Amino acid sequence: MATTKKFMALVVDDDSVNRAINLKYLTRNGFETEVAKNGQEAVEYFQMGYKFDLVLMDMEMPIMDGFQATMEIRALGVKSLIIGMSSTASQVKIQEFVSAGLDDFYPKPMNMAKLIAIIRRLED
Amino acid sequence: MNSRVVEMQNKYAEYAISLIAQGIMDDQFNRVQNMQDNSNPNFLSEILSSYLGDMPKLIHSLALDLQQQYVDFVKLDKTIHNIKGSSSSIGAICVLNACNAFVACCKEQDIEGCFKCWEQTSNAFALVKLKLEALLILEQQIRAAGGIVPKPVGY
Repeated sequence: MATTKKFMALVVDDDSVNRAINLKYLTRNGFETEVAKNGQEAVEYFQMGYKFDLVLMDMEMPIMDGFQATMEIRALGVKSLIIGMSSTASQVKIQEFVSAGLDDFYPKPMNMAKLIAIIRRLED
Repeated sequence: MNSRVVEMQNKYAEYAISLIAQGIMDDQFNRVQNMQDNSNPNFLSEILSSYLGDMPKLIHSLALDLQQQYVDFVKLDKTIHNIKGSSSSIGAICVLNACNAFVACCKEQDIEGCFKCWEQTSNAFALVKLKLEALLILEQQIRAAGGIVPKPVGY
């Protein structure tokens, strides 16, 4: 387990395979988790008063994408660590995504090195 | 230990290694295999079944979109992006590589190129499907014989 602290994470991804893998990495390393299948569901969590230490935000999703969801979550005054993830190679899209309010961006897929870097930021 | 189980475990391990040696899967597949543990002993089969179940619909939708009178390259790109995401997450590198070529053709709005890329993506997925289904059968056989599915070498 990479951390002894109990962190709360929200996994936002429309793809079931990606969600399952991210959830597995997180739960194996002590995180409590919730899931949203699109940006709108993610925003609704925060509107209902849920608090998360970490949000793993996919970029392209139906109904509401990661750009819009990140902007709306930040507009609510949320200070959670929001990490964008995508398999896109477009630097323009990545920069736009970061500008929407991300704390950082990692290309998919998740792995232990990325998760450890995220946990270090949470623990700081 | 039951020698039959050991033999099946060795066969499984060699088969999994061969998928990477042949460039069909990559090291991410090892990481996904390594995630399987006592808390979720069916993790690998669940993930692979989900992937193998979702991909045909996406690949078929690409074919339909390419056959439209006016091809929507933005829609095509989104679907390819979805296939890329799932494929990279389970380590299906041959599908990922085919998708990267497809993205390039979409960007050029090269319809003929897109058709060729669709065929390559479809063939790559068919190969991955064949190989992963065989691996899952080996996994089932090991469990049925009372054995444990081996972890990838080095993990």
